[in-house]
Amino acid sequence: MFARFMSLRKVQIGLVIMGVFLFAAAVGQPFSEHVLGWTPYTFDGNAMGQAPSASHWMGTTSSGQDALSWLLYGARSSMLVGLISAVIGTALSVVIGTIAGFSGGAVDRFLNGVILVVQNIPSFAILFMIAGLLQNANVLLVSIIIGGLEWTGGARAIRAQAMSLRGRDFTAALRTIGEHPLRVILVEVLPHLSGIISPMFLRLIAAGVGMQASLAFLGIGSAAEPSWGLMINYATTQNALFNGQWWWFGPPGVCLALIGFATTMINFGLDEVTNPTLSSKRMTLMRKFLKQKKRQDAAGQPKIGAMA
Amino acid sequence: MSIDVQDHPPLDKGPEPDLEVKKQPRFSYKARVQGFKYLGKRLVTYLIVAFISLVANFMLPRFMPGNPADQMIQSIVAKTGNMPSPYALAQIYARYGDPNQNVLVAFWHYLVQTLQGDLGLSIQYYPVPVADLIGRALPWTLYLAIFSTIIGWIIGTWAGAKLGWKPGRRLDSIVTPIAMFFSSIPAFWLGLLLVWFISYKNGWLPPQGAYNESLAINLLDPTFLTSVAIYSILPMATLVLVGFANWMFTMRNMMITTVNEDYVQLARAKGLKPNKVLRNYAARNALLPNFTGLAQSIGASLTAVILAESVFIYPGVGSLLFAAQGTRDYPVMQGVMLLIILVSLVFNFIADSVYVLLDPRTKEK
Amino acid sequence: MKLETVAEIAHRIATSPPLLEAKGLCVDYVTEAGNIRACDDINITLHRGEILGIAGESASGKSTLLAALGRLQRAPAVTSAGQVVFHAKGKEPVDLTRLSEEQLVDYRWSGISIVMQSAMACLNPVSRLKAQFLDVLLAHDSSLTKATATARAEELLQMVGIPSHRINAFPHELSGGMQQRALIALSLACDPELVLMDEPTTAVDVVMQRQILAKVLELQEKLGFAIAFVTHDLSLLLEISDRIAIMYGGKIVEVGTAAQMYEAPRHPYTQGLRNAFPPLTEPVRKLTGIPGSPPNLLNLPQGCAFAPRCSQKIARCESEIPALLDISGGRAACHLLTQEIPEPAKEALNA
Repeated sequence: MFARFMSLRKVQIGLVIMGVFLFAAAVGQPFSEHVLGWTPYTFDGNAMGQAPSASHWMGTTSSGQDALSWLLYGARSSMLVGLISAVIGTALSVVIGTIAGFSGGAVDRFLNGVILVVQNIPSFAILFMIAGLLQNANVLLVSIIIGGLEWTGGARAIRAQAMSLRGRDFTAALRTIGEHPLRVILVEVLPHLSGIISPMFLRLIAAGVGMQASLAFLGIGSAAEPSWGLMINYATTQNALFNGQWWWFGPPGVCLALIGFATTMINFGLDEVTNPTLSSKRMTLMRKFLKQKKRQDAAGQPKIGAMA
Repeated sequence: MSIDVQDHPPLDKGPEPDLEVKKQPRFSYKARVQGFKYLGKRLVTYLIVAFISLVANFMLPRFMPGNPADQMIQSIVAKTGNMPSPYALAQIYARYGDPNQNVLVAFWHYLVQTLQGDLGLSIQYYPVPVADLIGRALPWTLYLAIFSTIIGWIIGTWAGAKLGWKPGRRLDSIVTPIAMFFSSIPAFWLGLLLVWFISYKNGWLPPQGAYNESLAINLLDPTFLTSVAIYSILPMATLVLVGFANWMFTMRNMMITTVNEDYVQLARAKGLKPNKVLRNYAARNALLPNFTGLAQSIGASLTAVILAESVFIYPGVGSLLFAAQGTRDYPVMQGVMLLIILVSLVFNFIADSVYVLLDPRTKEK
Repeated sequence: MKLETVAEIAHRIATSPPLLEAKGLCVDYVTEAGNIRACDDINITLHRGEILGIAGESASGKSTLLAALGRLQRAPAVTSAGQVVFHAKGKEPVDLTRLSEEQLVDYRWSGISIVMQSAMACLNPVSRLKAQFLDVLLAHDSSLTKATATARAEELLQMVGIPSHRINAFPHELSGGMQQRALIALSLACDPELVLMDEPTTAVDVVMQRQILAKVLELQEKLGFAIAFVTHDLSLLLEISDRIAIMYGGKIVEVGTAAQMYEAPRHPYTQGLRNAFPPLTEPVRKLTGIPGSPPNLLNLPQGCAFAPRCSQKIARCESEIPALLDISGGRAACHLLTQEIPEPAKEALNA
């Protein structure tokens, strides 16, 4: 299963993109400080609003900040928000989903109600309200709000799965021999849930990155944390569009789109592995087979109606 | 299983004596009761969400750093040179914390005011009521949200049905990844690119605004309406480009699954025209999830609309919010947020009702 | 039910013109692990008005064959070789495998119709019965108006014992037995020459199964269409079919009249199936099943696919695939039948 997953072109592309951004997030800051010699906080008075050149590989902002170093710093805050909100959201959905699914009865009814309610809260509106009123949108706060609101889809799926697993023979057998329920859940049940957890984790990363960028673009981010959204915000407010400074407003958007693209690709790959009717590999095989047969038919065998 | 038992004839009864032409209601009584029960449950959920939002809206300012009430009074004084009216003062205190008032009493006042449609006075445009500002902006936002969602839905559903009918063809392997990329682009950034390329570089379309400002707002004037249509091309295009792909994917995958269903095979076996099988059998069934999603996503699209509005300086609630954010006009920010939550809940409820109407097998999933 | 003698049935089949012929028909499943041949070199002729039973265990390729005969296989199944020649009334014989989906429209439903296992899954859940009858009636007979087509649909429903006003029901509003009967009524809508039936009674209870079968046989006698009936239940086929084909590992291993299959099955596999259910008229005896499990189609044995489970196998069985040959009155594919064999074994075969 894992080997098949990894062999899909979609998955490979998606993983490579995610890998590149994770790498940039990890080593981007020291690289930018020590190798490029620039940070988003340093201003090059000799190169303001310049197109890409040897000293500034991806150009500068109109106040002389190096665009590449800003991108690298942004990768770090984006990936942090994405990962932290994904971890929080996944943890919440696993805990609430399994508890609801396994306990049944009143606990389940209550938790299901909570799921329904939270599901209908528009996350971005709440996020905006909190961040706007507190005049603060640091990485941790944004991640907590996103993770805290975006877990319901996963929790529902896990609850359903847990309910069906509860009825299955092997879990019943384990319970009858006196295994602790928690151990049963951790060791026997969670591995079965990976098909739900991994796409959810990926979607949460994308949601976290996207919402943080939107907030920063609206100017509610913290100005102290250089992020892609903030970069686009400055570009618009400082007329980069009008001046055609594409190296300033372009790359951060491309980065945001690439992260979303990568998670979608990996998720499509997951779908294909778990649901063979969606397998594009098999569809291609079918097409080839039919084409080959058509060629053979054309070469030999009589045509319609001409038969003994 | 069967729903209305009274209709079952004894099995060996011969042909009915007469061909009674009885118009049956679309849904049996029991199905209708189930539908209402389902909607009732949903309504309760939405009321809870609405109440939670009101509480959050009331509580949050009390956690704000500093004293927002005093800050606001100061900025009104700085703006107008006068103390706010007693009415305005009372409102500010009720909403942003009065040390002399019990929190529960304050909450009660706040609740009563809000339910009466009184959202306080704007700071930035003091003394214009927030409700008036929102009332002026909301039609623009709804116009963008509803039309862009519907256009994106039609394009996406149509394309998805075509792709999923015969998946794996070359068209499918080209269109799908491209659409994946488009669906990942942040709406605000795509808007910026369009403004840059189409308006600034080539001057094909106006970069911002909702209509030619030299015209008077008159919904019966064709020139005005044309101007509205032209000015909305860019924001609409942005929202459609970002939004259609998700419809396409769900429809495509639903179609792939549906095409393998027995009833589609049977329709093929019946010798119906392939287009008819696609339309009446495959697509009609695959459409259900997309249909329910439609109304819901009009509500959900508000986020993207707000962001796109701030790019195109479109006079909807997004721009209002953007401006309020810059000037710390808290009453406006809160009013807009509350409104967004309520509007999405309304559309969620419409989605539920549509679902109950469309699927004769309505069951809560 | 039928009051024909064995000889009469044999004569009727022999004199009846062919309706559908499979010639060297092969069906493959295209999978990532490689192609799986689900039907291999199938040769069989179905005559007008005949009831042909096709029996086999699950994964023997019987349902795949039925779908391929009607050109209804769904991805990833592909007809990879051979012909399906259909002799439609008043038309030139035609190879269905060579026709496009558009060309096939002329032969579907008015020529070949199908009844599948689960009626609930076969009827479009979001439209009323009426719409599902009318679209096919109007598509195949341009002389019908909406009103006459509706009357015809009501007549069809009454024919299978469903009151005509139920025509306005959604499928989920009918009971399981009613759905299945509605599906049978639907299959007869355009007066087909052949009805393919894929386990049409497996999903309903035994009482309903008898009722439905009786109804099908009654209508068959009245209207004269041919039936290809697929099931895993050999006893049921013995009762209703004129001829029976037994499938194993994607091949037909034996064909013969129902009486031959009941009294003197030739192939060891058929014998095994035959011994797996009790005869109603004989004293109680011990039943025997067939040891082992069906073969893996991805990895078939080199010789006869049944050899690993066969209690009578000889050396040749494991190296050479037996051909389907004419054996007095029927056809079978088994090396035991084509070689000189010692008397005791022969007795066993003829028992």
